[in-house]
Amino acid sequence: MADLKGLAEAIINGKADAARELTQQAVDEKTAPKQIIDEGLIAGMSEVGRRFKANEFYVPEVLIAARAMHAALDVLKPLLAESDVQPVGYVAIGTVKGDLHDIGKNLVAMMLEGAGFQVIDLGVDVPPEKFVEAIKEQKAQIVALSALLTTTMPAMGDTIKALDAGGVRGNVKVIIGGAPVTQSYADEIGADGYAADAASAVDKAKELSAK
Amino acid sequence: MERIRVTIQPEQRTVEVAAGTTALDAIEAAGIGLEAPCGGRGRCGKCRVMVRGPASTPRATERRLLGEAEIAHGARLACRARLQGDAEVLVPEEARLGRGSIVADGVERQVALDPAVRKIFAAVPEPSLEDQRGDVERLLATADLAGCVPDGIELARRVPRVLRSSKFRVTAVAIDGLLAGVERGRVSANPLGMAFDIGTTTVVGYLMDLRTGQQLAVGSRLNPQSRYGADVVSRIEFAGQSPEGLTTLNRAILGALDEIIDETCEAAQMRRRFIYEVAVVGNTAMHHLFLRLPPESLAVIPYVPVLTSPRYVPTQSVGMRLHPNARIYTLPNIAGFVGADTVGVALASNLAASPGLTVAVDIGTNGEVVAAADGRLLACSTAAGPAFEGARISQGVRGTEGAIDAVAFGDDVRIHTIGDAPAVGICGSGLIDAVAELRRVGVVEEMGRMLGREEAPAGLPAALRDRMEGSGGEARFLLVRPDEHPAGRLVALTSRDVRELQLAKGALYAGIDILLRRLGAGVAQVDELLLAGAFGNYVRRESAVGIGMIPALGLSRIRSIGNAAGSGAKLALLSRAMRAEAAEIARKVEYVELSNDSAFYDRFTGAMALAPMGEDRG
Repeated sequence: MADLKGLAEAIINGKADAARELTQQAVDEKTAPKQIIDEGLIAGMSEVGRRFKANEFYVPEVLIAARAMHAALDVLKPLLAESDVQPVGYVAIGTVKGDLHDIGKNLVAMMLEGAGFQVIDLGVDVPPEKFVEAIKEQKAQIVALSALLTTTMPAMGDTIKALDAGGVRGNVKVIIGGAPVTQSYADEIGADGYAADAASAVDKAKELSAK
Repeated sequence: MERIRVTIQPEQRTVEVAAGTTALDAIEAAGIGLEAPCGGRGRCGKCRVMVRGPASTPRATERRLLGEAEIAHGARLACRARLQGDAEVLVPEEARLGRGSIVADGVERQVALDPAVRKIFAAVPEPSLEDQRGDVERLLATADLAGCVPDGIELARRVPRVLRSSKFRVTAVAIDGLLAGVERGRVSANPLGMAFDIGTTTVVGYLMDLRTGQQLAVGSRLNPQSRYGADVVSRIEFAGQSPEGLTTLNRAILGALDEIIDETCEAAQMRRRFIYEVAVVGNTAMHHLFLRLPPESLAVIPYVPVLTSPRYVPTQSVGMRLHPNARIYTLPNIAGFVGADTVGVALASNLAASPGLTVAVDIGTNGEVVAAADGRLLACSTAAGPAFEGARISQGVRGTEGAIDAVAFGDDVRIHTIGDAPAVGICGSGLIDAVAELRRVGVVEEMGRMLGREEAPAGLPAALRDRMEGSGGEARFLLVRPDEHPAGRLVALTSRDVRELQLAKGALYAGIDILLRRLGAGVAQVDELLLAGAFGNYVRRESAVGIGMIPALGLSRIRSIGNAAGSGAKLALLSRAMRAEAAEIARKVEYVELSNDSAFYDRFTGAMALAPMGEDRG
């Protein structure tokens, strides 16, 4: 009987090796990948998100929990390709052009993965065209933009304009985040949503996916 | 009679003496010669040392000979200070017997005095029909000087009156062989210089006698630019937001420097008009804001500075009021985020000449790391954040009087404050100690969570348990209870404070790790690790290792070198040869851009745990 509760615990406590082993065990026992993800990974990461919101966990714990989740996911990846596990949604995420900051963006990416999204991480210093490409070629439904400087924030507006010009704006929802970003800025540039931290980003992404 | 252990730095020599022994006797017991011309009677003020540990309260003699500012920074007269418990005494260069080398607290680098500023007494032959040379020309010839400083017309205006009102016997001051100043008669006061370390959070200034190389006074301030942003990036953004932004930041730092000039001149009973040269170090952004260079390019890819080479700038053009012909020497920068202060650290610790693999870590807001091996010098900036300097810590303060700078747990908490003054907050070294101790006794978990009182580990002494308050995100630990403080204040370390330190130390550790990998080395190959930091930030090695801020090296391989950046500024001020070396260092250093290094994120995550890191097999 696969220890999915134990897997969730391993992820919550950031134990990457245990997470990898327990996932492998579950796979060896022919547990369905979807169940492993739901009861192990998603259960673990949503508890992480809850504790983060409750100020019990802080960035350090989220970082190591995300690392443990990734270790588990690495074991599952080849199986996911074969199975018919559908991700909750497809998200293209990146830090906008001119900006190299990635820790916050990485946290959001990991939390989204932990919530069952398929994440296309475009990295940092991402020009608008690459986002357009991700939508056209990899079927991204949500575009998540990160910027850490007021000087690079305008690239968010540029990206939304590029989506328009590329004829894909109507097919996606755009969410933005980063230290200087605010809800009113999101409204100003026509984004669909704004989130102040990784946990709320997941909530927002789920909310927008349901629409 | 209780015995205590006293460790003399930087030799790291320890002696056991009776409690109540003066620092002077302890130093001599350790076999180190100390300058004490008045025979230890408290008359001359020459036996100035830094004491870390319980000691008698400074009385009138010390207050008079050292001055309040010095005492506030932990300085004592060795002949007056009686040690009451285990202590560390730092003996700076200028107090040692047989000096003539340059002062550098905590850093042992002996360099010959070779300042750019010289004082020359000249008995100038009076003019006659046979000798009709101009006033300026005869003065230059007598003093054997090549000419006047550029823009020396104001000087020329003074010369006739000075010469004729002193029977042509004058004191000339020259900078790089050019006349910069002239005073009547034989002036006993020596030309002075200032060495500034402009840190993001803490600014320190040293008033130096350019003829003897002696440090006369020291002053420090919180960098007032903090009002416009706690870190470099937010200040650069502020500068870019409006046309007045840069001017505002520039005025703020000049104001602080001016206050330090006032304070140090007052303490040393000197006049600022005798200050002829200023050496400045700071990280690249601080350097730019000081010189009013537009800093915007520093904040965006590819992070290029306006200026990296060293520069001489007249103090008048910067808005500093010293001697009218005084000039500033800014040390070179290395890259956008590794600046003149890192060059200062490398210079002061003589990193380029170290035989094996040496790593110097600057425990400050930008967390620069420099590693030297096989003739290579690598540097990076870890952007650790201002936690080490007290910012973003709920009751964090700079290394100033009243700051808790050492913490130890036994059956209860034992703290030490700078100047033995009532606690006003906690500074970097105190913070690191506190977290290390909280970890050791189990009040803080490895991943950084602070326990609430109900979760206190079994066996924790009651006194410690009673200092635990709150729970979850609101947990805090009282280092000083109101009943323990003369003014009824409390000083607490919160759960959030531990997180701030965790992130800062994780970034720093990751930077060290990556530089070592780039050098193809591991922790075991490190021959020496040097800890540098803002004034007053003498970090305890055991604590730094305990929380995993630096690799777990044997303690004998870790050395605290105090404010090495400031020492570097002093060295450059007092020796032109050091300026040439600084330029060479800047040219040689290979800058490593951490955000470009794919391993950084992984290393950073791996360095989150508050536990000793890195394998060390001796």
